[in-house]
Amino acid sequence: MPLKYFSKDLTPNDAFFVRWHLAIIPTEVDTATFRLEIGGHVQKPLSLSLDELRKGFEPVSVVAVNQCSGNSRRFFEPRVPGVQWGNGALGNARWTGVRLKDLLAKAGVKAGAVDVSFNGLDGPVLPPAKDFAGTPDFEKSLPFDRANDGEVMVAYEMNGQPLPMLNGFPLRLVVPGWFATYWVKALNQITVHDKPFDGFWMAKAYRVPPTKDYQEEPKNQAKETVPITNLTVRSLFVKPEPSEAIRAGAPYEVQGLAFDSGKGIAKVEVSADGGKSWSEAKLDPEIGRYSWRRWRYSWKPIAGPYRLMARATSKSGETQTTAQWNRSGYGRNVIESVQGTVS
Amino acid sequence: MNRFLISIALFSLPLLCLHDSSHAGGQPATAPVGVEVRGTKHILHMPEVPFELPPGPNKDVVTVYCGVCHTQRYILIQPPFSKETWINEVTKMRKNYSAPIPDEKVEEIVNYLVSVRGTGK
Repeated sequence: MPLKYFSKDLTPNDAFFVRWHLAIIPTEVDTATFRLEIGGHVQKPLSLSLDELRKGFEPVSVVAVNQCSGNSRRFFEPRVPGVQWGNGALGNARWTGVRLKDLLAKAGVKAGAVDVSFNGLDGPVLPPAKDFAGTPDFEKSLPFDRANDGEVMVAYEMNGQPLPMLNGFPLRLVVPGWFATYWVKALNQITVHDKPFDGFWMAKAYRVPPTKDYQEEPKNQAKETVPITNLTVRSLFVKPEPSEAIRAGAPYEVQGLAFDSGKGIAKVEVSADGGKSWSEAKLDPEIGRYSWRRWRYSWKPIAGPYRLMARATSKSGETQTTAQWNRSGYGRNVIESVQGTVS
Repeated sequence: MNRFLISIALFSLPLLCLHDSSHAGGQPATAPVGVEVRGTKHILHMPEVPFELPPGPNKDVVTVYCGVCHTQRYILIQPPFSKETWINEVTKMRKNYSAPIPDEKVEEIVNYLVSVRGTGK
């Protein structure tokens, strides 16, 4: 996604990044026959049409950051295999839909629910068959308490419009504060489980060291891993853009954005001297705790080379790290810098 | 009957194999790219984006066995990796995703990968 879109509160639908796990994505959806199935460890399995969802449940909205777990993977050193994202697998949108909690209440969850899993219309080229393990279908799960927290949503709109087909039409899961791997697109099946869900995309994929910032050393990798969950606190520069011409003397408004897993951003600080001293940037008003927060910093450029660094701190005191690595290239949140020459 | 087309700006192409392996000739799309709404049906027309791997040993083996499931672009976007890393990636494809690669083809595929994206180690 071009950098300019990071200088907006909300990312336009037709600029939002697109990423699917499997090659067979839905290319035709019939809104008349589409059904969201809710079943498993429930009293009353449901099969809801889009109309029933819109009319039968209270609509809610949340502005929330959607970031791919592997966003910024290309900046890890040593490099790791995977999609070599820059910073573009990231967007902020107003999501509208129904609370998953309300759907679960309607189905009547039985005692002993442990996990809730989510499946969409996408599928692999080589699915499992008799005597063939196949490529595992993309299915994610949430612990029951997270699924039922009243914030997780089944969304049908993005920025006031129906979800684009490339971004999950007609429904997607929205899990504010957690990485986008959970935000299952073209969601059509919700299953409540009375034992831990152990599908491939939870048990084997999207695993991280159980450490702050999902950190581990290449030569001393964690023996145990856990599913990735929370977004890591992060700030990014939006202006100046790389190779932007900057004049000495004239004040320049540095711009950026910051976000975390939902505690809220307490401050963003900028350093122009390699991290020796930091001054606070001015934060735009908070849109919501799961939204990104834009910030501005008045800088007086002096002729010559420059390097600016930005560091966000959340309201729970979480702050950005200077060095970070993990084997999968997930959760990147190092202190970012932008550099160039002032003329 | 209502038909309207919304042109979609793909800033990040979904990495799909739908057209790579079977439309090497670059057939023109039969409908304009975008979303078409026909009654209650929402239909996504995606662009034909033919793609060919750069030359290298056993390129055709890679095209056949890897192109079954995903775009070959996944290979080209990688930075150079060691032979060991590439062996691990091919193993991951076979073990986790059931890539139908016979034992005797593994070395051929790895040799191609290190030829286009190898560190020489």
